[in-house]
Amino acid sequence: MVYCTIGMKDATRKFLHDPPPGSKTRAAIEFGTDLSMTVRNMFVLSPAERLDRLQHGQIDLRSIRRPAQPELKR
Amino acid sequence: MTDFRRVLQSLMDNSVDHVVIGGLAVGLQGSAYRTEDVDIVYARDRPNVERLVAAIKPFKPRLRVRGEPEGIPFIFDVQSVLSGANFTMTTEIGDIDILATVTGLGDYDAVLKYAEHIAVISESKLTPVLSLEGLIISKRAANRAKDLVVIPELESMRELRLMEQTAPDGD
Repeated sequence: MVYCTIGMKDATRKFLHDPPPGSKTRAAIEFGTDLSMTVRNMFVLSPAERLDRLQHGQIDLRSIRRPAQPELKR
Repeated sequence: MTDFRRVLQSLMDNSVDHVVIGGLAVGLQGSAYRTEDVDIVYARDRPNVERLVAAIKPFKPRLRVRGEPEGIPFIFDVQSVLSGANFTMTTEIGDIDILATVTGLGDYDAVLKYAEHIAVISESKLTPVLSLEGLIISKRAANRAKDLVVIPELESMRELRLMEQTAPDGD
């Protein structure tokens, strides 16, 4: 999974890319949660920007990647 | 979709004692899940209910009922709110739910202990938003499918935030 880790501490970045067994993050991924947008919301966006994003729609088609469609063109 | 900013601004402008809960709180904390409405828990003292009514009434609230897209008219005043507790409403700017209690947490005073005050609308006037801890407790207590599905994400968010707060700086 690809994460936007701008500004994130190195320990958190390493943890996120290989969450250890037993961790909540590993459990969320195994549950099927896509944390890529969550991580960007949490660590890149301000609360005001999160509100704008909620207001105008969470789904950013450019950020969606599927096996059969590895990258959407802008 | 509800005009989140206008609702939050009006609550702030009228100094309503409230905490943002539910899907909007989940989203403001950073979740990728979407929401369509605003849910708040409010303090039940009469002065605050007067402020709450002043904040919401301009949006012309009607009771939200399944099968009635326009809602059902009702008198949204202090007496109505004090006589009831939880109101699910549709308004000119979208759906607004005002609750006296939150499952698993309790009334406004109890919920406030789990609130974080964050700069959503204004840098100087902060908005009280239910914390990740409070959201996890309330969603687990609610025990509905739509609540349970978001818990793994919320728990991961809490873990990542704690790690970021406690990890040493630098590479």
